[in-house]
Amino acid sequence: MKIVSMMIPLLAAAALVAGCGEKPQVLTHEPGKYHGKADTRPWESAAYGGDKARWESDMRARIGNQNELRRMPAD
Amino acid sequence: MARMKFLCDAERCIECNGCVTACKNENEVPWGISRRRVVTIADGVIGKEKSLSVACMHCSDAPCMAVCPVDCFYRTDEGVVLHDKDVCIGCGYCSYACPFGAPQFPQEGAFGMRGKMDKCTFCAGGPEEDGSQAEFEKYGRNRLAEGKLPLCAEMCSTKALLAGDAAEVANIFRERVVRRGGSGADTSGWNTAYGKGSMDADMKAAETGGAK
Repeated sequence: MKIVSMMIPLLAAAALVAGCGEKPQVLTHEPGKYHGKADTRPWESAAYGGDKARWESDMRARIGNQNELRRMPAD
Repeated sequence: MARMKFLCDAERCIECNGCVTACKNENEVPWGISRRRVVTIADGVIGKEKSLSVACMHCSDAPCMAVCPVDCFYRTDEGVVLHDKDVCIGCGYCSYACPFGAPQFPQEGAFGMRGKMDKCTFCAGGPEEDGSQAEFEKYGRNRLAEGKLPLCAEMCSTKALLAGDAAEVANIFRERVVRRGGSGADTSGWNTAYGKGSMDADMKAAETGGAK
C-alpha cells in the first residue's frame, strides 16, 4: 500500500512532463528529395538527363530573351 | 545559376492580365484560385496609376515557411519555395504571414472548408516525379524541368514581368532604368521578399559575372 501511494505522485509527475519532450520537427530538403518523395532537380528531367550545363545555358538564353534592348540591332 | 526571382516593372505593366490568364491556363488552376493577379495602385489618377503583377515571390526568408505548423514548405536548390500538398492541412497560417497574399485556398466540401493551399510554383511543379500526371494535377506544369521560364513572364507582352536568375534579371532592369533616364527605378516587393539592398547586390553580381 505504501509503495502504491509513493508511485502515484511519481506517475502523476511523469504524466505531467510527458508533453514537454521535443523532437525535431523540421524536415530537411535534400537535393532531389523531399520528405522521402522524389523531387528531381530541373536538369535531372527527361529533357536534360542530368546535363546541368546544358540546362543552365538554355535558361540563360531564355532569361536573356526577356531583354528586348539586347535583341534590337545596335544604333 | 544562382537564385530564381520575379520582378515586376511598374513602369511597363499595362494591366492586361495576360500573366494571370497564362498562369491559369498553363497550370489548369481551379475556379476561385488566382496564383497570380494584377494589382492597380491609384486607379484612375492620371500620371499616378501603377499596376503590378503579384504572386508568390519565393522569398529569401519566406514567412510562410516559418509559420507552417506541419512544415510542408521547402526551398529548392534554385531558391524556389514549394510545398507538399499531401502534408498541408489547410490551416491558413501561411496566408496570414505572406506579405503578398500568395497562398490561396480552394473552397472544398459542403461547408466551404479550406482545402489544401495552392500557390505559384515558379512553374517548377512540386514533390512528385517531374512531368508526371500527379505533379500536374497537384501543382501544375513543371516548365523549369523543360528548360523554360514561368509562362506568366514569358507571355508578358511588355516584358514588365521578368523571371529568372536574380543577377540577370537585375541586370536587365538596370539597363532599362538607365535607358529611360533613371525613372521607375522602384522595385516593388523586392526589399520585402529578398531583403534590403538585394537589388544592388544582384546588380553587382551581374557586373562581376558572379552570382549572389
